[in-house]
Amino acid sequence: MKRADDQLLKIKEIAFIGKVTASLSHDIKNILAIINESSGLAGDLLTKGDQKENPHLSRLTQINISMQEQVKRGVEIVKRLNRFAHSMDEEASDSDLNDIILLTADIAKRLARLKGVGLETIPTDNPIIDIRNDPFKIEQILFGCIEYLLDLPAKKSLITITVKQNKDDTSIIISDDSSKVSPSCGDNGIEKTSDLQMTFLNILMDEIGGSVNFIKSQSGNTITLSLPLKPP
Amino acid sequence: MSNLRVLLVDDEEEFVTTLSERLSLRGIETEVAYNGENALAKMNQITPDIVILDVMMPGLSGLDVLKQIKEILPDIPVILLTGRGSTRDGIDGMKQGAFDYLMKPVDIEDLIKKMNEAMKSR
Repeated sequence: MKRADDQLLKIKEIAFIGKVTASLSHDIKNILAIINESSGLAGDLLTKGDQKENPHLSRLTQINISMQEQVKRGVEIVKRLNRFAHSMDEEASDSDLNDIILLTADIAKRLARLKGVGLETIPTDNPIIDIRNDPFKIEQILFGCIEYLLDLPAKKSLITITVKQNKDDTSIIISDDSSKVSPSCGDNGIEKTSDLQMTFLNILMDEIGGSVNFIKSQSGNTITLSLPLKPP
Repeated sequence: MSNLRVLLVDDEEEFVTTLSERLSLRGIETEVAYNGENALAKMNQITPDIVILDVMMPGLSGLDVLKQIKEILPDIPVILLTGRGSTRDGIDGMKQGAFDYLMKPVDIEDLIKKMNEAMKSR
């Protein structure tokens, strides 16, 4: 009973965080929409004939273009935040796995960039991969895998994520190119923090009825996540 | 697009007034409403050619307003604006009779293109 209560409490807490984040991201989006229109109006007015004599026309136009570009950038970030927040709505829901992967990769790109590593998703043949599971946990696991590979001491320049659909499950494969960057890295030890991270990933995968397989070879490091088609 | 009368409905006043000014600069006549109740009242007074309607508003939501517009003036196309990250609201609205939807912030050229398509569909 205690375990069930704890689990319910955890679900409610996550749903609360999701709801608040979604609401705040909606407010930020409305502000960006106003800035977008104001900047658009400024652009409209700057292109009017009576502005030709304005000595600052060129600079003002440049500033305005920069504002619009930053609004677009802000909108993309808020969209990600909003989608991430909505992934906390329900414990298990029908989702497109491609969407989950693209969102997580977008969120993790900054972390990878700070470590000088690129992060790419390899498109699959199927535009939509239906999966009934906990999108929030999948995002958490996927992000954890990316962090894990980034924390390994071997030098790398790129991490790729791809999906393989099997008869009974779906695999997400996260690989790095450490062998190409540093061919002798295959025997390097794993840092303690990374070991803890892998334990954590195993626990999370177990919760959603899946498994983690980590292979460290001469061709690079690969983590394969096997996801069941339906939650346990 | 000139001689077109558009009703813009959004509770974000600054958004609506600025968008209205931009459309006016392009020769489009606009009326604005800052909530659903006001929008329905204006519908009876001015009979716009198109309604641009925000989905998330306090009081009557965009989808509530859409439902009532479709009951009183079913031929007037409604384009929804949605600020949510997902397309769910827009798709729900199209199922209830909206012509189409756009995600906020909108590109004014996309909005005008969508308005043109809506007018051609009448």
